[in-house]
Amino acid sequence: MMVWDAVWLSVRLATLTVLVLVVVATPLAWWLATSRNRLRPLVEALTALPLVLPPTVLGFFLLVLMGPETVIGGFWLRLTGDTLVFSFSGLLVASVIYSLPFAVQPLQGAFQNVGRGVTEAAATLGASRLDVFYSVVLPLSRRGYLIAAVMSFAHTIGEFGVVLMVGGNIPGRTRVISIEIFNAVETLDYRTAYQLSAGLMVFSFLVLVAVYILNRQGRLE
Amino acid sequence: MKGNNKLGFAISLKRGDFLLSAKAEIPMQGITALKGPSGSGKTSLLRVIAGLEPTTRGEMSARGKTWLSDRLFLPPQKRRIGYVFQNARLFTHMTVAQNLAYGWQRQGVSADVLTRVHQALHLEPILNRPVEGLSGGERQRVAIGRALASDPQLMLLDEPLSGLDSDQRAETLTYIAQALAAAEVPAIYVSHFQREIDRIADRLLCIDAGQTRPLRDLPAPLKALVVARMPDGQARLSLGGTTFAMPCHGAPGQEVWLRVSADDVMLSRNDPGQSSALLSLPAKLIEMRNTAEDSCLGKAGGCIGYLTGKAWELELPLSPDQVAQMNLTCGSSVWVSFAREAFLPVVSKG
Repeated sequence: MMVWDAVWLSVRLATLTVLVLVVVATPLAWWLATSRNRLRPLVEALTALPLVLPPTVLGFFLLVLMGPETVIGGFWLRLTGDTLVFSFSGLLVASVIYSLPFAVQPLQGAFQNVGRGVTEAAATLGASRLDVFYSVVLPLSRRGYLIAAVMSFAHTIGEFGVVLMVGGNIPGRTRVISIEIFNAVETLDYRTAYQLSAGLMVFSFLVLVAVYILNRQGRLE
Repeated sequence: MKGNNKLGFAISLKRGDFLLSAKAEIPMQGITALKGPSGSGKTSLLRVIAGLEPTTRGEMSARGKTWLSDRLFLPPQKRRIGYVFQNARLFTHMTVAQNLAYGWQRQGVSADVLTRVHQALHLEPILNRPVEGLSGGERQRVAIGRALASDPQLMLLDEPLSGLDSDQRAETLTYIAQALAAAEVPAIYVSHFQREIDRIADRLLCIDAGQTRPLRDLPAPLKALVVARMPDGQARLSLGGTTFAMPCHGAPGQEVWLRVSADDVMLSRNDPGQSSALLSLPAKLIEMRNTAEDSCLGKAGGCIGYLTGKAWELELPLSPDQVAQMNLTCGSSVWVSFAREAFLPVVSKG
Protein backbone atom coordinates (compact mmCIF):
# COMPACT_ATOMS: atom_id res chain seq x y z
CA MET A 1 0.00 0.00 0.00
CA MET A 2 1.33 3.38 -1.04
CA VAL A 3 0.34 5.13 2.19
CA TRP A 4 2.31 2.78 4.42
CA ASP A 5 5.32 3.02 2.11
CA ALA A 6 5.29 6.75 2.72
CA VAL A 7 4.93 6.39 6.49
CA TRP A 8 7.72 3.82 6.68
CA LEU A 9 9.97 6.05 4.55
CA SER A 10 9.27 9.08 6.76
CA VAL A 11 9.99 7.15 9.96
CA ARG A 12 13.18 5.64 8.51
CA LEU A 13 14.39 9.05 7.33
CA ALA A 14 13.60 10.75 10.65
CA THR A 15 15.27 8.03 12.74
CA LEU A 16 18.47 8.07 10.67
CA THR A 17 18.46 11.87 10.68
CA VAL A 18 18.32 11.88 14.50
CA LEU A 19 21.17 9.37 14.73
CA VAL A 20 23.39 11.36 12.38
CA LEU A 21 22.45 14.62 14.10
CA VAL A 22 23.43 13.37 17.58
CA VAL A 23 26.91 12.65 16.25
CA VAL A 24 27.22 15.86 14.21
CA ALA A 25 25.50 18.28 16.59
CA THR A 26 27.31 17.21 19.79
CA PRO A 27 30.77 18.59 18.93
CA LEU A 28 29.26 21.61 17.17
CA ALA A 29 27.01 22.48 20.14
CA TRP A 30 29.91 21.89 22.57
CA TRP A 31 32.10 24.26 20.59
CA LEU A 32 29.34 26.89 20.43
CA ALA A 33 28.70 26.55 24.19
CA THR A 34 32.33 26.81 25.30
CA SER A 35 34.36 28.64 22.65
CA ARG A 36 35.42 32.25 22.98
CA ASN A 37 36.49 32.30 19.35
CA ARG A 38 35.62 35.48 17.43
CA LEU A 39 34.14 33.38 14.62
CA ARG A 40 31.53 31.92 16.93
CA PRO A 41 28.65 34.29 15.96
CA LEU A 42 29.32 33.43 12.32
CA VAL A 43 29.06 29.70 12.93
CA GLU A 44 26.05 30.24 15.18
CA ALA A 45 24.27 32.18 12.42
CA LEU A 46 25.11 29.54 9.81
CA THR A 47 23.71 26.83 12.08
CA ALA A 48 20.49 28.76 12.61
CA LEU A 49 20.05 29.61 8.91
CA PRO A 50 17.69 26.68 8.14
CA LEU A 51 15.29 28.15 10.74
CA VAL A 52 14.67 31.29 8.71
CA LEU A 53 15.32 30.27 5.09
CA PRO A 54 12.33 29.15 3.01
CA PRO A 55 12.76 25.37 2.58
CA THR A 56 12.67 25.82 -1.16
CA VAL A 57 15.73 28.07 -1.04
CA LEU A 58 17.66 25.58 1.07
CA GLY A 59 16.43 22.74 -1.16
CA PHE A 60 17.43 24.59 -4.32
CA PHE A 61 20.98 25.19 -3.12
CA LEU A 62 21.31 21.58 -1.99
CA LEU A 63 19.98 20.38 -5.33
CA VAL A 64 22.60 22.45 -7.16
CA LEU A 65 25.35 21.48 -4.73
CA MET A 66 24.66 17.74 -4.85
CA GLY A 67 24.02 17.40 -8.59
CA PRO A 68 26.02 14.64 -10.33
CA GLU A 69 28.21 17.15 -12.19
CA THR A 70 29.41 18.87 -8.98
CA VAL A 71 32.40 17.76 -6.91
CA ILE A 72 30.28 16.36 -4.07
CA GLY A 73 27.61 14.77 -6.28
CA GLY A 74 30.21 13.39 -8.70
CA PHE A 75 32.21 11.85 -5.88
CA TRP A 76 29.08 10.22 -4.48
CA LEU A 77 28.13 8.86 -7.91
CA ARG A 78 31.56 7.29 -8.36
CA LEU A 79 31.52 5.91 -4.81
CA THR A 80 28.04 4.37 -4.79
CA GLY A 81 26.93 4.27 -8.40
CA ASP A 82 23.86 6.27 -7.49
CA THR A 83 23.12 9.99 -7.68
CA LEU A 84 22.86 11.93 -4.45
CA VAL A 85 19.88 13.95 -5.64
CA PHE A 86 16.55 12.15 -6.02
CA SER A 87 17.79 9.40 -3.68
CA PHE A 88 17.26 8.45 -0.05
CA SER A 89 20.88 9.33 0.80
CA GLY A 90 20.40 12.79 -0.64
CA LEU A 91 17.23 13.19 1.43
CA LEU A 92 19.13 12.19 4.53
CA VAL A 93 21.88 14.76 3.89
CA ALA A 94 19.26 17.45 3.28
CA SER A 95 17.27 16.50 6.39
CA VAL A 96 20.35 16.62 8.58
CA ILE A 97 21.14 20.14 7.40
CA TYR A 98 17.52 21.23 7.56
CA SER A 99 17.03 19.96 11.15
CA LEU A 100 20.50 20.93 12.40
CA PRO A 101 19.34 23.94 14.47
CA PHE A 102 16.68 21.81 16.17
CA ALA A 103 19.39 19.52 17.49
CA VAL A 104 22.17 22.06 18.09
CA GLN A 105 20.17 24.64 20.02
CA PRO A 106 18.81 22.39 22.82
CA LEU A 107 22.24 20.77 23.19
CA GLN A 108 24.03 24.13 23.29
CA GLY A 109 21.57 25.28 25.97
CA ALA A 110 22.08 22.10 27.96
CA PHE A 111 25.87 22.36 27.79
CA GLN A 112 25.75 26.01 28.85
CA ASN A 113 23.55 25.02 31.78
CA VAL A 114 26.08 22.45 32.94
CA GLY A 115 28.50 25.35 33.11
CA ARG A 116 32.20 25.60 33.81
CA GLY A 117 31.76 25.10 37.55
CA VAL A 118 31.40 21.34 37.63
CA THR A 119 33.68 20.70 34.64
CA GLU A 120 36.46 22.58 36.42
CA ALA A 121 35.77 20.61 39.59
CA ALA A 122 36.02 17.35 37.64
CA ALA A 123 39.31 18.44 36.06
CA THR A 124 40.87 19.22 39.45
CA LEU A 125 39.85 15.70 40.54
CA GLY A 126 41.97 14.20 37.79
CA ALA A 127 39.52 13.72 34.92
CA SER A 128 40.73 14.31 31.37
CA ARG A 129 38.64 16.51 29.09
CA LEU A 130 36.99 13.54 27.36
CA ASP A 131 36.39 11.89 30.74
CA VAL A 132 34.76 15.10 32.03
CA PHE A 133 32.49 15.13 29.01
CA TYR A 134 31.34 11.52 29.40
CA SER A 135 31.12 11.39 33.20
CA VAL A 136 29.73 14.86 33.97
CA VAL A 137 28.53 16.84 30.94
CA LEU A 138 26.67 14.04 29.16
CA PRO A 139 24.61 12.79 32.13
CA LEU A 140 23.76 16.35 33.14
CA SER A 141 22.63 17.08 29.54
CA ARG A 142 20.28 14.07 29.22
CA ARG A 143 17.19 16.25 28.94
CA GLY A 144 18.81 18.40 26.25
CA TYR A 145 19.52 15.26 24.21
CA LEU A 146 15.96 14.03 24.63
CA ILE A 147 14.54 17.35 23.48
CA ALA A 148 17.00 17.56 20.58
CA ALA A 149 16.07 14.05 19.42
CA VAL A 150 12.33 14.57 19.70
CA MET A 151 12.41 17.97 17.99
CA SER A 152 14.60 16.94 15.07
CA PHE A 153 12.62 13.71 14.60
CA ALA A 154 9.33 15.61 14.45
CA HIS A 155 10.79 18.33 12.26
CA THR A 156 12.10 15.79 9.77
CA ILE A 157 8.72 14.02 9.63
CA GLY A 158 7.10 17.35 8.81
CA GLU A 159 9.42 18.65 6.10
CA PHE A 160 8.09 19.20 2.59
CA GLY A 161 9.86 21.84 0.54
CA VAL A 162 13.38 20.54 0.93
CA VAL A 163 12.28 16.97 0.19
CA LEU A 164 10.44 17.99 -2.92
CA MET A 165 13.41 19.99 -4.25
CA VAL A 166 16.14 17.46 -3.43
CA GLY A 167 14.29 14.15 -3.53
CA GLY A 168 11.46 14.73 -5.92
CA ASN A 169 8.45 12.47 -5.73
CA ILE A 170 9.56 8.86 -6.22
CA PRO A 171 7.33 6.26 -4.51
CA GLY A 172 9.19 4.14 -1.91
CA ARG A 173 12.36 6.16 -2.47
CA THR A 174 11.69 9.79 -1.72
CA ARG A 175 7.91 10.05 -1.40
CA VAL A 176 7.49 10.80 2.34
CA ILE A 177 4.20 11.46 4.16
CA SER A 178 3.99 15.19 3.46
CA ILE A 179 4.50 14.59 -0.26
CA GLU A 180 2.00 11.75 -0.25
CA ILE A 181 -0.56 14.19 1.18
CA PHE A 182 0.24 16.65 -1.60
CA ASN A 183 -0.22 13.89 -4.18
CA ALA A 184 -3.47 12.77 -2.64
CA VAL A 185 -4.92 16.25 -2.80
CA GLU A 186 -3.70 16.69 -6.39
CA THR A 187 -5.55 13.52 -7.38
CA LEU A 188 -8.61 14.52 -5.32
CA ASP A 189 -8.10 11.52 -2.95
CA TYR A 190 -9.28 13.50 0.08
CA ARG A 191 -9.76 10.38 2.20
CA THR A 192 -6.04 9.55 2.18
CA ALA A 193 -5.17 13.22 2.62
CA TYR A 194 -7.40 13.43 5.70
CA GLN A 195 -5.99 10.26 7.25
CA LEU A 196 -2.37 11.26 6.80
CA SER A 197 -2.92 14.88 7.81
CA ALA A 198 -4.83 13.95 10.93
CA GLY A 199 -2.14 11.41 11.80
CA LEU A 200 0.61 14.00 11.42
CA MET A 201 -1.29 16.55 13.45
CA VAL A 202 -1.91 14.20 16.37
CA PHE A 203 1.72 13.07 16.24
CA SER A 204 3.04 16.66 16.24
CA PHE A 205 0.76 17.64 19.10
CA LEU A 206 1.92 14.69 21.21
CA VAL A 207 5.55 15.53 20.46
CA LEU A 208 5.09 19.13 21.61
CA VAL A 209 3.31 18.00 24.78
CA ALA A 210 6.22 15.67 25.48
CA VAL A 211 8.75 18.47 24.95
CA TYR A 212 6.91 20.85 27.27
CA ILE A 213 6.62 18.18 29.96
CA LEU A 214 10.36 17.56 29.69
CA ASN A 215 11.09 21.28 29.85
CA ARG A 216 8.90 21.64 32.92
CA GLN A 217 10.67 18.80 34.73
CA GLY A 218 13.97 20.46 33.85
CA ARG A 219 12.90 23.69 35.50
CA LEU A 220 11.52 22.01 38.61
CA GLU A 221 14.81 20.30 39.41
CA MET B 1 63.68 16.40 47.82
CA LYS B 2 63.24 17.69 51.34
CA GLY B 3 64.94 20.99 50.54
CA ASN B 4 62.51 21.45 47.69
CA ASN B 5 59.29 20.81 49.55
CA LYS B 6 57.74 24.03 48.35
CA LEU B 7 55.28 25.55 45.97
CA GLY B 8 57.16 28.34 44.24
CA PHE B 9 55.76 30.76 41.72
CA ALA B 10 56.30 34.10 40.04
CA ILE B 11 53.30 34.61 37.81
CA SER B 12 51.16 37.26 36.20
CA LEU B 13 47.64 37.10 34.88
CA LYS B 14 45.86 39.85 33.00
CA ARG B 15 42.09 40.08 33.07
CA GLY B 16 40.77 43.23 31.49
CA ASP B 17 42.09 46.07 33.65
CA PHE B 18 43.02 43.76 36.51
CA LEU B 19 46.58 42.52 36.76
CA LEU B 20 47.47 39.74 39.16
CA SER B 21 51.17 39.66 39.90
CA ALA B 22 52.14 37.11 42.53
CA LYS B 23 55.39 35.73 43.81
CA ALA B 24 55.96 33.42 46.76
CA GLU B 25 57.65 30.28 48.05
CA ILE B 26 55.06 28.45 50.10
CA PRO B 27 56.13 25.44 52.20
CA MET B 28 54.15 22.34 51.26
CA GLN B 29 53.31 21.74 54.89
CA GLY B 30 50.60 22.97 57.23
CA ILE B 31 48.04 25.56 56.30
CA THR B 32 48.86 28.80 54.52
CA ALA B 33 46.14 31.43 54.67
CA LEU B 34 45.63 33.70 51.69
CA LYS B 35 44.03 36.94 52.77
CA GLY B 36 43.00 40.13 51.06
CA PRO B 37 40.04 42.42 50.52
CA SER B 38 37.30 41.59 48.00
CA GLY B 39 38.55 41.83 44.45
CA SER B 40 42.20 41.66 45.50
CA GLY B 41 42.83 38.53 43.44
CA LYS B 42 42.63 35.76 46.06
CA THR B 43 40.42 33.50 43.98
CA SER B 44 42.34 34.31 40.80
CA LEU B 45 45.61 33.27 42.45
CA LEU B 46 44.06 30.04 43.69
CA ARG B 47 42.77 29.31 40.17
CA VAL B 48 46.21 30.02 38.74
CA ILE B 49 47.75 27.54 41.18
CA ALA B 50 45.12 24.94 40.25
CA GLY B 51 45.82 25.39 36.53
CA LEU B 52 42.35 26.75 35.78
CA GLU B 53 43.73 29.89 34.11
CA PRO B 54 45.53 28.82 30.93
CA THR B 55 46.53 32.40 30.04
CA THR B 56 48.82 32.68 33.09
CA ARG B 57 52.36 33.84 32.35
CA GLY B 58 55.45 33.11 34.42
CA GLU B 59 56.77 30.14 36.31
CA MET B 60 55.47 27.73 38.90
CA SER B 61 56.73 24.51 40.37
CA ALA B 62 55.71 22.22 43.21
CA ARG B 63 58.08 19.83 44.98
CA GLY B 64 60.58 20.32 42.17
CA LYS B 65 58.08 19.49 39.40
CA THR B 66 57.37 22.23 36.89
CA TRP B 67 53.72 23.23 36.60
CA LEU B 68 54.20 26.31 34.47
CA SER B 69 57.01 27.76 32.38
CA ASP B 70 57.47 29.49 29.04
CA ARG B 71 57.02 26.18 27.27
CA LEU B 72 54.84 24.19 29.60
CA PHE B 73 51.36 24.42 31.08
CA LEU B 74 50.44 21.44 33.22
CA PRO B 75 46.63 21.04 33.07
CA PRO B 76 44.69 20.80 36.35
CA GLN B 77 44.03 17.05 36.05
CA LYS B 78 47.80 16.42 36.23
CA ARG B 79 48.61 18.63 39.22
CA ARG B 80 47.08 16.38 41.91
CA ILE B 81 45.42 19.21 43.74
CA GLY B 82 42.19 19.18 45.69
CA TYR B 83 40.11 22.28 45.06
CA VAL B 84 37.23 23.23 47.34
CA PHE B 85 35.16 25.88 45.61
CA GLN B 86 33.13 28.54 47.39
CA ASN B 87 29.85 26.98 46.27
CA ALA B 88 30.81 23.29 46.61
CA ARG B 89 30.16 22.47 42.93
CA LEU B 90 28.99 18.93 43.65
CA PHE B 91 27.89 16.62 40.84
CA THR B 92 24.10 16.73 41.11
CA HIS B 93 23.58 13.54 39.07
CA MET B 94 25.45 11.47 41.66
CA THR B 95 24.92 10.44 45.27
CA VAL B 96 27.21 11.64 48.05
CA ALA B 97 29.19 8.39 47.87
CA GLN B 98 29.62 8.71 44.09
CA ASN B 99 30.80 12.30 44.47
CA LEU B 100 33.35 11.22 47.07
CA ALA B 101 34.61 8.41 44.85
CA TYR B 102 34.99 10.53 41.68
CA GLY B 103 38.58 11.70 42.15
CA TRP B 104 39.50 8.76 44.37
CA GLN B 105 38.74 6.35 41.52
CA ARG B 106 40.54 8.39 38.86
CA GLN B 107 43.71 8.80 40.90
CA GLY B 108 43.80 5.15 41.90
CA VAL B 109 43.90 5.83 45.62
CA SER B 110 43.68 3.04 48.21
CA ALA B 111 40.40 2.26 49.98
CA ASP B 112 41.86 3.27 53.37
CA VAL B 113 42.02 6.88 52.25
CA LEU B 114 38.34 6.90 51.35
CA THR B 115 37.39 5.34 54.69
CA ARG B 116 39.55 7.82 56.57
CA VAL B 117 37.86 10.71 54.75
CA HIS B 118 34.40 9.34 55.55
CA GLN B 119 35.36 9.17 59.22
CA ALA B 120 37.20 12.47 59.52
CA LEU B 121 34.32 14.42 57.99
CA HIS B 122 31.58 12.29 59.56
CA LEU B 123 30.08 11.41 56.18
CA GLU B 124 28.88 7.82 56.77
CA PRO B 125 25.30 8.82 57.69
CA ILE B 126 24.75 10.68 54.42
CA LEU B 127 26.65 8.46 51.94
CA ASN B 128 23.57 7.20 50.10
CA ARG B 129 21.77 10.52 49.96
CA PRO B 130 21.38 12.43 46.71
CA VAL B 131 23.24 15.73 46.64
CA GLU B 132 20.02 17.72 46.50
CA GLY B 133 18.60 18.32 49.93
CA LEU B 134 21.94 18.43 51.76
CA SER B 135 22.43 21.37 54.11
CA GLY B 136 25.09 23.98 53.30
CA GLY B 137 27.48 22.53 55.87
CA GLU B 138 26.96 18.99 54.57
CA ARG B 139 27.58 20.12 50.99
CA GLN B 140 30.88 21.73 51.98
CA ARG B 141 31.92 18.64 53.92
CA VAL B 142 31.22 16.48 50.86
CA ALA B 143 33.19 18.92 48.68
CA ILE B 144 36.14 18.77 51.07
CA GLY B 145 35.88 14.98 51.28
CA ARG B 146 35.70 14.64 47.50
CA ALA B 147 38.91 16.65 47.16
CA LEU B 148 40.72 14.85 50.01
CA ALA B 149 39.74 11.39 48.75
CA SER B 150 41.69 12.02 45.53
CA ASP B 151 44.80 12.03 47.76
CA PRO B 152 46.04 15.44 46.57
CA GLN B 153 49.51 16.75 47.27
CA LEU B 154 48.02 20.20 47.93
CA MET B 155 44.55 21.35 48.97
CA LEU B 156 43.18 24.68 47.78
CA LEU B 157 40.19 25.99 49.73
CA ASP B 158 38.39 29.09 48.49
CA GLU B 159 36.41 30.60 51.38
CA PRO B 160 34.80 27.24 52.15
CA LEU B 161 32.72 28.76 54.98
CA SER B 162 31.08 31.51 52.97
CA GLY B 163 27.37 30.91 52.62
CA LEU B 164 27.14 28.97 55.91
CA ASP B 165 25.40 30.23 59.03
CA SER B 166 27.50 30.89 62.12
CA ASP B 167 26.86 27.50 63.80
CA GLN B 168 27.81 25.64 60.65
CA ARG B 169 30.87 27.87 60.17
CA ALA B 170 32.36 26.90 63.52
CA GLU B 171 31.57 23.21 63.05
CA THR B 172 32.85 23.08 59.47
CA LEU B 173 36.08 24.93 60.31
CA THR B 174 36.84 22.30 62.96
CA TYR B 175 36.13 19.51 60.46
CA ILE B 176 38.45 21.13 57.92
CA ALA B 177 41.31 21.55 60.39
CA GLN B 178 41.00 17.98 61.67
CA ALA B 179 40.59 16.40 58.23
CA LEU B 180 43.61 18.26 56.82
CA ALA B 181 45.72 17.28 59.83
CA ALA B 182 44.60 13.64 59.65
CA ALA B 183 45.43 13.44 55.94
CA GLU B 184 48.69 15.36 56.45
CA VAL B 185 47.97 17.40 53.32
CA PRO B 186 49.27 20.96 53.01
CA ALA B 187 46.63 23.54 52.18
CA ILE B 188 46.15 27.07 50.95
CA TYR B 189 43.12 28.54 52.63
CA VAL B 190 41.47 31.69 51.27
CA SER B 191 39.60 33.88 53.73
CA HIS B 192 39.14 37.52 54.54
CA PHE B 193 38.38 36.91 58.21
CA GLN B 194 41.43 37.27 60.45
CA ARG B 195 39.70 35.36 63.25
CA GLU B 196 39.18 32.35 61.00
CA ILE B 197 42.79 32.56 59.84
CA ASP B 198 44.17 32.81 63.39
CA ARG B 199 42.31 29.65 64.31
CA ILE B 200 43.48 27.47 61.43
CA ALA B 201 46.61 28.73 59.67
CA ASP B 202 50.35 28.36 60.25
CA ARG B 203 51.32 31.26 58.03
CA LEU B 204 49.80 34.09 56.09
CA LEU B 205 50.17 35.38 52.56
CA CYS B 206 48.52 38.74 52.02
CA ILE B 207 47.38 40.00 48.67
CA ASP B 208 46.16 43.47 47.82
CA ALA B 209 45.16 44.90 44.44
CA GLY B 210 46.62 41.87 42.70
CA GLN B 211 50.04 42.10 44.42
CA THR B 212 51.28 39.54 46.92
CA ARG B 213 53.20 40.60 50.04
CA PRO B 214 55.97 38.63 51.74
CA LEU B 215 54.90 35.44 53.47
CA ARG B 216 54.84 35.63 57.26
CA ASP B 217 54.56 33.03 60.00
CA LEU B 218 51.62 33.09 62.39
CA PRO B 219 51.99 32.29 66.11
CA ALA B 220 52.50 28.65 66.97
CA PRO B 221 49.50 26.89 68.53
CA LEU B 222 49.20 26.17 72.23
CA LYS B 223 50.04 22.57 72.99
CA ALA B 224 47.75 20.79 75.42
CA LEU B 225 47.70 17.16 76.49
CA VAL B 226 44.72 14.78 76.55
CA VAL B 227 44.38 13.60 80.14
CA ALA B 228 41.22 11.54 79.86
CA ARG B 229 38.31 10.84 77.54
CA MET B 230 34.87 11.79 78.67
CA PRO B 231 31.43 10.80 77.39
CA ASP B 232 29.69 12.69 74.55
CA GLY B 233 32.86 13.36 72.55
CA GLN B 234 34.52 15.55 75.16
CA ALA B 235 38.06 15.20 76.41
CA ARG B 236 39.78 16.51 79.52
CA LEU B 237 42.82 18.50 78.49
CA SER B 238 45.72 19.81 80.48
CA LEU B 239 47.36 23.15 79.69
CA GLY B 240 49.69 25.13 81.90
CA GLY B 241 48.84 23.09 84.99
CA THR B 242 45.10 23.58 84.61
CA THR B 243 42.74 20.94 83.31
CA PHE B 244 39.52 21.62 81.49
CA ALA B 245 37.00 19.77 79.30
CA MET B 246 36.12 20.54 75.70
CA PRO B 247 34.81 18.71 72.61
CA CYS B 248 37.89 17.12 71.15
CA HIS B 249 39.26 13.92 69.57
CA GLY B 250 42.41 12.18 70.75
CA ALA B 251 43.36 9.46 73.23
CA PRO B 252 44.92 10.06 76.66
CA GLY B 253 48.58 11.00 76.26
CA GLN B 254 48.13 12.54 72.83
CA GLU B 255 49.07 16.12 72.19
CA VAL B 256 46.35 18.49 71.01
CA TRP B 257 47.15 21.74 69.27
CA LEU B 258 44.88 24.59 70.22
CA ARG B 259 44.69 27.61 68.02
CA VAL B 260 42.87 30.67 69.14
CA SER B 261 42.29 34.09 67.66
CA ALA B 262 43.68 37.16 69.44
CA ASP B 263 40.10 38.45 69.40
CA ASP B 264 39.14 35.67 71.81
CA VAL B 265 41.92 36.32 74.33
CA MET B 266 41.67 38.82 77.19
CA LEU B 267 44.42 40.17 79.42
CA SER B 268 44.07 41.32 83.02
CA ARG B 269 46.43 42.20 85.85
CA ASN B 270 44.42 40.40 88.54
CA ASP B 271 43.24 36.78 88.73
CA PRO B 272 39.78 36.75 87.13
CA GLY B 273 39.10 33.24 88.48
CA GLN B 274 37.89 30.25 86.43
CA SER B 275 34.48 30.16 84.81
CA SER B 276 32.65 27.82 82.47
CA ALA B 277 33.28 30.14 79.55
CA LEU B 278 36.80 31.31 80.30
CA LEU B 279 40.04 29.50 80.93
CA SER B 280 42.42 31.81 82.81
CA LEU B 281 46.14 31.15 83.18
CA PRO B 282 48.91 33.20 84.78
CA ALA B 283 51.70 34.39 82.51
CA LYS B 284 54.62 36.73 82.26
CA LEU B 285 55.12 39.32 79.52
CA ILE B 286 58.70 38.69 78.45
CA GLU B 287 59.08 40.83 75.35
CA MET B 288 57.31 43.64 73.53
CA ARG B 289 58.12 44.35 69.92
CA ASN B 290 56.76 47.37 68.07
CA THR B 291 55.01 46.69 64.81
CA ALA B 292 54.25 48.98 61.94
CA GLU B 293 50.73 49.69 60.78
CA ASP B 294 49.46 46.77 58.77
CA SER B 295 46.39 47.11 56.61
CA CYS B 296 46.45 43.41 55.80
CA LEU B 297 46.17 42.34 59.43
CA GLY B 298 43.78 45.22 60.09
CA LYS B 299 45.96 46.60 62.88
CA ALA B 300 46.83 50.22 63.48
CA GLY B 301 50.33 49.88 64.89
CA GLY B 302 50.95 48.96 68.53
CA CYS B 303 53.15 46.05 69.46
CA ILE B 304 53.32 42.29 69.76
CA GLY B 305 53.56 40.97 73.27
CA TYR B 306 55.33 37.66 73.93
CA LEU B 307 53.85 35.86 76.91
CA THR B 308 55.05 32.72 78.66
CA GLY B 309 53.19 30.61 81.16
CA LYS B 310 53.82 27.23 82.66
CA ALA B 311 54.94 25.19 79.62
CA TRP B 312 53.10 27.33 77.10
CA GLU B 313 53.72 30.56 75.23
CA LEU B 314 51.64 32.97 73.23
CA GLU B 315 52.06 35.94 70.92
CA LEU B 316 49.43 38.59 71.30
CA PRO B 317 49.03 41.94 69.57
CA LEU B 318 48.71 44.76 72.12
CA SER B 319 47.16 48.12 71.33
CA PRO B 320 48.83 51.32 72.67
CA ASP B 321 45.70 51.94 74.81
CA GLN B 322 45.95 48.49 76.36
CA VAL B 323 49.65 48.97 77.17
CA ALA B 324 48.99 52.37 78.78
CA GLN B 325 45.87 51.42 80.75
CA MET B 326 47.26 48.18 82.12
CA ASN B 327 50.69 49.71 82.60
CA LEU B 328 52.32 46.82 80.77
CA THR B 329 56.08 46.54 80.63
CA CYS B 330 58.51 43.72 80.04
CA GLY B 331 58.32 41.43 83.04
CA SER B 332 54.73 42.31 83.98
CA SER B 333 52.72 39.49 85.49
CA VAL B 334 49.35 39.10 83.83
CA TRP B 335 46.42 36.71 83.58
CA VAL B 336 45.47 35.45 80.15
CA SER B 337 41.83 34.43 79.67
CA PHE B 338 40.81 32.32 76.71
CA ALA B 339 37.24 32.04 75.49
CA ARG B 340 37.07 28.26 75.77
CA GLU B 341 34.76 27.63 72.83
CA ALA B 342 37.03 29.69 70.58
CA PHE B 343 39.76 27.03 70.75
CA LEU B 344 40.16 24.99 67.60
CA PRO B 345 41.59 21.63 68.69
CA VAL B 346 43.62 19.47 66.31
CA VAL B 347 45.16 16.21 67.45
CA SER B 348 48.82 16.36 66.49
CA LYS B 349 50.46 13.50 64.65
CA GLY B 350 53.26 11.66 66.40
